[in-house]
Amino acid sequence: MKLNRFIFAALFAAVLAARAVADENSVAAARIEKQIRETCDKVVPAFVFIGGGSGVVISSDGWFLTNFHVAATPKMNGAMVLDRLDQTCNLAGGHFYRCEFVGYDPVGDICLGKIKDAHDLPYVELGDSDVVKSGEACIAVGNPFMLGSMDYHPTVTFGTVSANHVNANAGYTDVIQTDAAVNPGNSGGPLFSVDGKLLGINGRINTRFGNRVNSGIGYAIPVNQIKNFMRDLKKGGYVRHALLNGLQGAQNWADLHAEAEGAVVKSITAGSNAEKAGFKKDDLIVEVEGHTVHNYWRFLGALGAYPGGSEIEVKVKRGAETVDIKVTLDKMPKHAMAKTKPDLGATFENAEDGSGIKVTKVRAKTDAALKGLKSGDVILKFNGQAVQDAESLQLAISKFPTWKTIPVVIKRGEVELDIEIKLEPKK
Amino acid sequence: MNRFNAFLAACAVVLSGTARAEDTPETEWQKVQETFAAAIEKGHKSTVALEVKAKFNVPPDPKPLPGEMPNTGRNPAYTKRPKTPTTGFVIDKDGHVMTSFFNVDGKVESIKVLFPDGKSAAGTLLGVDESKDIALIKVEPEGLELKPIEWVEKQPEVGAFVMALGRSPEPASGTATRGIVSAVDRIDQTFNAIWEQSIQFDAKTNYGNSGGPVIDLNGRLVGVVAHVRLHSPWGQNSGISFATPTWKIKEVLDKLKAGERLKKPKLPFLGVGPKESSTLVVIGTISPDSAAEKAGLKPGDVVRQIDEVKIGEWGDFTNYIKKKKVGEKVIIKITRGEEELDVEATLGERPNNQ
Repeated sequence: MKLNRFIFAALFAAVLAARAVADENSVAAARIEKQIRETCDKVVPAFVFIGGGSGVVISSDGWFLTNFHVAATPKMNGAMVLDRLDQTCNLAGGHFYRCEFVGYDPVGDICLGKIKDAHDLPYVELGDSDVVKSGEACIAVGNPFMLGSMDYHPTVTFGTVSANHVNANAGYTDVIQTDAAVNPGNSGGPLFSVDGKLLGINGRINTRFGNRVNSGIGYAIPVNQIKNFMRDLKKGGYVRHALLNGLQGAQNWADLHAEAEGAVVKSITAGSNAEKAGFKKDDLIVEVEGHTVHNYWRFLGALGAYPGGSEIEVKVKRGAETVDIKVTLDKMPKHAMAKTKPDLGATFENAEDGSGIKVTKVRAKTDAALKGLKSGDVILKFNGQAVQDAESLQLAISKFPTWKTIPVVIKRGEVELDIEIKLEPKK
Repeated sequence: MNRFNAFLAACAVVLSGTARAEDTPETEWQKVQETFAAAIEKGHKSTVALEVKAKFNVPPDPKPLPGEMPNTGRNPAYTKRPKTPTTGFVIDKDGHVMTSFFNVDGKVESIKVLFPDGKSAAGTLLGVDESKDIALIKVEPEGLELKPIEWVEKQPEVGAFVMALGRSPEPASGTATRGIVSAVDRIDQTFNAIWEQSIQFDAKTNYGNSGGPVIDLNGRLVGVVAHVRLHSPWGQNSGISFATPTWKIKEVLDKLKAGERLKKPKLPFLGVGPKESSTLVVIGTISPDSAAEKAGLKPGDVVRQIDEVKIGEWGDFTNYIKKKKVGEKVIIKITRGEEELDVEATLGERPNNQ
């Protein structure tokens, strides 16, 4: 009957249509999944297992990033210590490397390291953290709870950018917030966009009641901030963040919450850098280097992305006018850790009779005193190298971090002795 | 006839239209969402709720990891199980239901299996595999509409989407969490419920969906949700979840059907602790009565190699031993003072407090 053919054809068409739709659905989902898997294949080999945390290789000759708090370790008295030399790390898969820490940012919680004797290492490209928006997908790679320390396979997690340019205080002033699962052990590790570009370095999670596990709020230091500091980090030593002296904004919650269009300049200190640059009381700061600033807290956060001494452009509204101000930012005071210089615990000078470097005074309660160094001892070798004069010995000492134990060879009378001395912070 | 031809032509137009519709990001995302929804719906058909009455074993409170702050919020209530059901899933038409060992760890008095269509049946516990955290239950299939889950043999890759399904707290309502595969062949015997190779993923799992199926984009089983890692306070998930993969289940399925109880194996133990050194791997401590002591290892020995593996850092050393079995022999190359020695040790059992 004709009707049967209609019914058959209709059913057939309906099934084909449904299958076409379902196939298309799964093609779309499979395509996204494939992109995620391919990104994982691309970025995981550049992952670094280091200390109790993570890192990521950013150049084929071995520059890598991690958190400062992964590189520095706390000592018994609570002080943080950064031992620059003789570090080791493993890349994903387990390959062992020797490395050293070169540039340090204790405020921004970044450390730049260099893998030694490295070439053709897998590395990741730096992305653009400024254009990242809430809702974008992101991928974190890390070593939470040291789960990867046995097989050297890091942990990959997937989530959403919850917010960008977040001022989470205490150095995390311009961060990307994400709900990708990051836990203790993820610190120092990379946060990627879905196409595999580095967006930031994961470093902190927001938790309550002492529960040091993820609850959906992770903070990553943005790659654009790291780029701003890269030259200073590569030069080596402690970098310094920026301040703007002489400009005060909202001083309480009520004032801060009343701001939405910009940061109100509440007062300018006479004779200050801010005044000289051209800021005036009641100015409304609306942009910093092209970034929108909606209140004073965000303004302070924006400053946190630049090294001290940077010249930046700030846009303010003054009445009906818009004024562009160029200002050279002040430098934050030197970090306490940057101030400690290593010291032998004893003074020494070139012996007048030319016999070498003579110890003149050993300070009490130092490791040198404990190990039996005495006034009159002649220092022959420092860290296995012969030392010619007091100046070169001082230079050799200054290359080491405080608290490092160094083998020293001394001569006392006719006898040569081996002593190991732990370098003290210079007082 | 004309009308029929016209109808066929209309179908052709409709079909071609469906195939070539321009995709906006919204419609593309909509398609993706529909894929997930279809996979979840398919998996839910096989997912069941379990009400287990038992005198449950209480897991020991684990020690914090070295360098870790003790969790200040660890609450004894963590070891008390919530009164809500847990999850399992149907694996065949004979009435076999798989779940996690955690859900039946203790003296089981009764098991009630609640199906998606509202029916329920009494379950009998068959076999368990403690170190895979899986257990097998049997119901009588008469009168039940059993929809066995589709298995996949091949393990998913890192980055693949996975969903963990549950039927808790309400058996009639299926739940789903979504994430990606974080790592495969993960072994962690310190805090994990699974002591063998597992799939690590970041879809959230907690008490209620323990024992549930982990499915892929096509709604097929890739693993069984293991009990949430003991590390976090109150047993709260923090994006680190584990599942026993299907290939591991297949290894023991016949034994579980036969009712065998496969216990957790003793872990291999050498009995050495490290001496802090930045460049060398040096033994610092030897546990009394341990394999290390019996083999003649001493504090101060510098470890260079174990069997074929060159040792660069302490982790290499312990990682190798963790992969061995109790009773296996290992040859450790050490430097003691000026001498280079080969030391043979027979691995012992890890004591409970290590």
